[in-house]
Amino acid sequence: MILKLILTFLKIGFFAFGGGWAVVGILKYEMIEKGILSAEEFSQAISIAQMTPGPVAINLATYTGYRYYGFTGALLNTIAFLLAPIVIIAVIFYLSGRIKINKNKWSSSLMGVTTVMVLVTVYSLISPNIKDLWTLLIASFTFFCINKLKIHPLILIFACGLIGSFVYGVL
Amino acid sequence: MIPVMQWEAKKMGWSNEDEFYEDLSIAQTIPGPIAFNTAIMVGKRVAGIPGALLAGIAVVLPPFFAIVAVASVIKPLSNNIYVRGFLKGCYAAVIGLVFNVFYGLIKKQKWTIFKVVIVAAGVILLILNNDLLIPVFAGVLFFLYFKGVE
Repeated sequence: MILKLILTFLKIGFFAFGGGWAVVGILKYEMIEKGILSAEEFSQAISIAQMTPGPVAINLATYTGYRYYGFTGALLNTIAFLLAPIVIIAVIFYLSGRIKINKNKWSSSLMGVTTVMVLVTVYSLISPNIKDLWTLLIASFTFFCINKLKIHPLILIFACGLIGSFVYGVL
Repeated sequence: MIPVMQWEAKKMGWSNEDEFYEDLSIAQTIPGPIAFNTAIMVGKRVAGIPGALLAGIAVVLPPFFAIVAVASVIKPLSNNIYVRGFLKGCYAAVIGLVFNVFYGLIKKQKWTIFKVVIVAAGVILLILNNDLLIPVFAGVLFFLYFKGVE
């Protein structure tokens, strides 16, 4: 089972183009499909990963590993997730100067890929919660606050947590 | 995280602005968290392979221990109705934040036919929801890239 978890994160590491939010959609799909986390556990993991310092995808890998296999799991899962970028960077260091890549075109194509992957993430974050009106209300409120009022994301997350505490705990 | 890294790298004399942007652009085009990749690139510039190794480890350690600490505290609390509500509220906020990332990506890039094709292919994959197709999709992308489609 621990092997299954590590291999899943290793695989996702290779597709982790575009950084954090681009991979969360794939991560969610894999975690829930393979029965590693339930939908609610995944949403808790996302909240914790976002509130803790550090890249969200690494935090998710660490958290999921810890959740099941304690400190060892956290360590192994984090390493597995970062193995792909480490290997690829090593290859780039080795090849640098020998081949020339049209970097502008390459990164422009990848931005298209990133757009799709972030769309997948948005879709997968909303899909199981679409029946919950409060979730959509808070999400729209957050989007408005960050886009128009430029409020710091951490403040927004904390404020929405308090709203959630009230809405789901008291009402 | 990236602006902070840039500021520190400049202050410590590790890399000037051009060098930092070169490292950053490479970091963005390879899979993996951008902050992690950038740290490795900057480390390589300062102190070769050992520098890259140390920078990579150093940038991961604080979040690693932060997560382990939070995870060990949250486990017994996660049945509390207020804690669950708090996390649900945070999750909803995250949806809004990610949507903002998506909105920014749509707005800031130049849309060529090639890119529309990539995005359309991606949306079709999303509807089919078959993860085996992702490598196929990447293959098509590489093919088009090396053919030089603009």
